[in-house]
Amino acid sequence: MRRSVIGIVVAVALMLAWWGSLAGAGPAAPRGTLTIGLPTDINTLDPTMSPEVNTENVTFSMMEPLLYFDPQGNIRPRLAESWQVVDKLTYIFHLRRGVKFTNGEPLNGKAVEFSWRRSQEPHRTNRVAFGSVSRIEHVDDYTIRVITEKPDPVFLKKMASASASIFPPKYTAEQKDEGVSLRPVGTGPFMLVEWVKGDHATFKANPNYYLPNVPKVETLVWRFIPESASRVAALQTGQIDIALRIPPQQAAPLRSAANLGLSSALSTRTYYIMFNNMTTGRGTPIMDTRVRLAMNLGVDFQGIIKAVYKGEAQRVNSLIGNVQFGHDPTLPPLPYDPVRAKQLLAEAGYAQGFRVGMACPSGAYANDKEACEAIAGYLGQRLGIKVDLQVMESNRFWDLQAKKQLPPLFFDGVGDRYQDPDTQLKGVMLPDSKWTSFDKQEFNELIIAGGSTVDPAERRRSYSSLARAMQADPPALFLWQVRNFEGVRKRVQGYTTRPNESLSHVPFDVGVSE
Amino acid sequence: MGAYLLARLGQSAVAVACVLVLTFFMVRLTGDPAVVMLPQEATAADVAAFRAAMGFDRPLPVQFWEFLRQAAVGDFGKSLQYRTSARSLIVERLPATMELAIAALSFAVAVAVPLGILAATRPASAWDWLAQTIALLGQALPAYWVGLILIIVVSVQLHLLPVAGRSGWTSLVLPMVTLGMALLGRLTQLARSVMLEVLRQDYIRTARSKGLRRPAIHYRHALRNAAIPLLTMVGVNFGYLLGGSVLIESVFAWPGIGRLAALAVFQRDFPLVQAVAFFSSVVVLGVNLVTDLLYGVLNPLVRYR
Repeated sequence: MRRSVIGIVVAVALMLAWWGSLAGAGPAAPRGTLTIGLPTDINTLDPTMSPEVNTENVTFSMMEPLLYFDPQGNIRPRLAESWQVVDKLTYIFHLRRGVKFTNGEPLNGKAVEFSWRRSQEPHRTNRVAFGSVSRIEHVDDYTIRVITEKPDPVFLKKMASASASIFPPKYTAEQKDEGVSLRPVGTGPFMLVEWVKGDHATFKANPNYYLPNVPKVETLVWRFIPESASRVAALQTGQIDIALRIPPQQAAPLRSAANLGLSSALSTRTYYIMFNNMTTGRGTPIMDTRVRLAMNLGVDFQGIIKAVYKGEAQRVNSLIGNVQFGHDPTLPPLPYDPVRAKQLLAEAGYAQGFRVGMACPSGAYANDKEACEAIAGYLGQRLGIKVDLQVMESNRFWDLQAKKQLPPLFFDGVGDRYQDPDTQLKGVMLPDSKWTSFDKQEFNELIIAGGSTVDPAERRRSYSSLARAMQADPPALFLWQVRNFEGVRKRVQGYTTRPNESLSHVPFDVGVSE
Repeated sequence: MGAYLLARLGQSAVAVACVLVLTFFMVRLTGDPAVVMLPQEATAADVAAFRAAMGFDRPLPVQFWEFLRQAAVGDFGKSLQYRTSARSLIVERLPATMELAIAALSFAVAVAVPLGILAATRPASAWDWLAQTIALLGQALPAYWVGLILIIVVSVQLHLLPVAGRSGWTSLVLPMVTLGMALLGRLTQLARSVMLEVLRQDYIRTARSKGLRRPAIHYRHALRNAAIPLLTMVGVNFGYLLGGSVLIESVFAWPGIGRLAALAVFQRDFPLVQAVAFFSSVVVLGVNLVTDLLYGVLNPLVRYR
C-alpha cells in the first residue's frame, strides 16, 4: 500500500516536471525523419499534371492551395486567411500577408491569378477542378475574386485540392512545364531535396514556414514500393514508418507486433454492379425494373463481405457512400430477401431465370475478381440467372466501358476526393459522361439538382430523394465500401487514415518520436 | 571481319527499324491514352480538349510520319506522363538496371563456373550433388517467391539487409541473388555437362600424361573449349537481364527500366513505350553481336564471313 502511494507521488512529480518542460520550451523545432511507403511510382511533381492521388499527396509536401481540407472534412484557411461567399457564383479570397515562396518570390494576387490560369490550360490532366470557373481576377495584391459559371457546391473543396496550388510566377514561367514537373517551388512546409524516379522523393523542412510548430519533422521521405508484401516488410524492418494500402490478408502480422499498429478508415469508394440500359442491355431482361430489384434482393451481400473482405466493408444504400455528404442514414440498404426476389422474377416472367453477361476488372480493386465470382454464384444458384462472367485486364475493361461496349452488367467502383457525391454521380450516371451506361431522366434531374445549388439542406433533400428513387428502380446492384488499411510504426505521432486516401495533413500534423 | 561486322550492323539496323514500326502500331491498339490519363469525372468536352491539346486527334499517318522523322535522329518525343524526353528517362534509369544486371550476371558466373567444374571433375561427390541441387532449384523456384522469402528471412528476421530501394551495396545483394538465380541454375548445369564432355577428349588425356597439374588442365585447357556454349548462354541472358525484370524490380522497389516500361504500357505512354522498345532491341542485338565476336577470341578457328 505504502509502495503504491510512493509510486503515485513519483509519477505525478514526473508528469509535472514533463509538463513544465513543455511549457517552457516554446515552439518545437522540427526533428527526425518520417518515411512513407507509397504503392505506386509518381510521374511528376507538378500537381496540375496528374489526377493520381499519390502524386497529389507527394506534392502537398511543398505546394499549397489557398484552402485546406482537414481530416474531419472541414475547409480551413491556409494561404487565404479568410474568404467570402458573395453569392451563388462569386467568391472572394483574402490572402495571408508576408508569405514568400521558398525561392523568395512574394505570394500575392498576381501569383494566384497566374497559377489558376495555368491550371486551366487544356493539356493539364488535373484541370477538371477548374471546370466550373469562368473568371479569375485579382482585385488588389491580397484579394482574389472568382466567378463560377454556375453554382458549384464543391467549389471551395476544389480550391483545397492540389491542382489549385499556387506557383511562383517568375520561376514557373522560366522553368516551363518540364522544369516544374521535376523541381517545382511552393510556399509549403517542406522544400524538395531530390526526386529519384522510381525510388524516393526527399523533402526538408522549410525554415521560414508561416505557421507555428509546422512542420514537425526535419525530413520527409516518400518511398515508392509497388509490392504490398515488400511494403509490409519495409515497415517491419523500420525502413519506412507508414505503409499505405495494406491488403486485409497482410494486415494480421501488424496487429500483433509491439512497435507497429494498424490504422484504417472506410474508403469513399463505392462499389456497384452497374446495369447497362443504353447499349448492350437493351432488349434483355434487365430492362425490367422488377428483374433489377430482384437481383438486388437475391444476393447475400453481407455474407460476401464476410467471406471475401473478412467483414471489413460496409453495405451502401445506393450509389452515395456512407462517408459522403448527402448520405441518408435513415434509409437502410436493400435487404437480403430471396423469397421476394423469386416472386419478382416470376412476376416479370423469368421464374426459370435467364442468361446474361457480366464484366469484371481484374486487379483494379482489392478482391474484385473474387467479389464478382461470389455474386455471379449467388445469382446462378438462388435465382437461376446464369452469369457469363468475363474477367478482364483493367485497362481493357475501362476502354470498353468508355466505349459503352461492356456486357449488360459490370462491376466497378467510384471514389471521390471531396467526400461529396456530386463529381462521382455526374461521372458515372449522367448521359454526357463517357463512363455512364444507365440513363434515367428522374435520376439525372436529381443529380443535377444536388449539384446546382450551394445550399446544403436543399442538396441533402435532392440526394435523399435520389437514393430512394434508386432503391425503387435500381440502376445497379448496390454493394459496399471497403475499409482501407495502413501500417504505422508506433513512433509516428498524429497520423490518421482518411476516407479519400488524401495525405494532405501529413506535412502539417505528423511527427515522430526518437 | 570488317565486311562481316558491316553486314551484321546492317541486319541489326533493319531489325531495330522493324521493332519500331511494329511497336508504333501495336501500342496504339491498346486504346486511347486520354481515357487513363484524365480523372474519372472528366466530361466528354474535357477529353476532346485534352486530345486536341496533346495531338492525339491527328490522323494516324501524320502521327506516324512525325514519329519516323524524330526517331531517325534518335528523338522519341516526350513521355505523356512525365512530360520530359523519353530518352532521358531511360538514360536516368539505365545505371540502376546496368548495376543490377551486371551484378546478377557476375554472381551467376562466379558461382556457376567453378561449381560446374568441381562437379564435373568429381562426379558423384558432394560437390556434384550440390551443383545439381542448385541447378534444379535455380530453375524451378519462381524468382518472385524467392525474393519475398529472402526479404522475410534476411531483412525482417535477421535484420541484415534493407528491403527496398537502391541505396549502396547492401540494397543490391538481395535483388542480385534473386535475379541471378535462374541464370545460376542453368549455367551450373551447362558448365557441368560441357566440362564432362571436354574432359573426356584426347587432348586432356595428353595434358594429363605430360604431368600438368589439375588446375592448369581444368582452367587453362578444358575451360577454354567449354567456354563457347557458356558464353552463348551468358550473352543471351545478359540481354534479357538488361531489359529489366518487372517482378524483381517491383518486389525490391528497384528503380530500373523494367518498372518504367511496365508502367508506361499500363498508362499508355506511347512515346515512352516506343523508346523502351528501341532501347531494348538495340541492347539485345548489341550483346548478341559482341558475343559472336568473342567466339573468335576464344577459339581462333572460328571464322567470320
